[in-house]
Amino acid sequence: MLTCKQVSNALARQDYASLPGLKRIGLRLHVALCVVCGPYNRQVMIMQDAARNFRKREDAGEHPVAGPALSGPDKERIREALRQAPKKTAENL
Amino acid sequence: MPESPGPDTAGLGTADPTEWVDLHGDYLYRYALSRLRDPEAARDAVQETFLAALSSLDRYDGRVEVKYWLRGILRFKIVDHIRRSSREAPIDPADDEGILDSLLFKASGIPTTRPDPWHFNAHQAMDADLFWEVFQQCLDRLKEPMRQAFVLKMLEDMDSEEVCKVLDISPNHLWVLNHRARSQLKTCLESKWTNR
Repeated sequence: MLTCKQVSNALARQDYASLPGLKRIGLRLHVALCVVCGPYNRQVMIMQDAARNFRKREDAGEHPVAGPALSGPDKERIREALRQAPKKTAENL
Repeated sequence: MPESPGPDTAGLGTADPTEWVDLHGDYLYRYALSRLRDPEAARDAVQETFLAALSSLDRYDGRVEVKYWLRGILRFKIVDHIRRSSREAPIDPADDEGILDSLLFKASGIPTTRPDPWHFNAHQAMDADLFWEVFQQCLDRLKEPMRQAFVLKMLEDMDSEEVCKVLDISPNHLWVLNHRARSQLKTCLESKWTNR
């Protein structure tokens, strides 16, 4: 039987979605049913859902926030820094 | 179409890092901006990433796509930056509004039994692409060190212990920062999303 403190500590420690199966089920059940810690911890879990979702979208290729791109001059500056940098090539490794 | 180094590429000799700037620079910059908020810091982090990648090309074994290999390096640079900037502006122990000392928190690990409910269906909203632009805007509005705490713990998915080391704070303090971050994010999202 999980206590509120155990549930809260588990959520503070990690994403509930990465808990092993039985632990996750137990936690979700407690949060769904508990009048003391349920409402607050449910909101903690919603934020975890949001963060996880955001990260998943980032992993899918395009950044979820369209935002500004690196400017042409900035890119050229970086390319120039790369050209100036000492190189390790197949020959001198 | 430039030949994009894929899993078959051994990285040595065939990969051209200057091409990578065009292929992956924007993605890396947006990622850095998402975590650091400051364009100059983000630019620096991206440049450092490419330079570090160049000097460790021999260690790229092609097992992950170049983009995500570079991003892995970038994430270290991001954490470094946050570590440095939190040393420059040391974080005062939180004024925790008495939460940590309350009986409720000590017994149950929560600050309230009656948080204000969400003003909209958050899970439904998460299906919309636009929601994530609003999410980032609200993240950007968080004050430091709450923003950094949230970024490290929730977006970089770091262990609490590691986050505490980077920010040089106690676990309780981290909890308070994240509690505040969640609370302010929620309020901002409620306002911006319902008024979009």
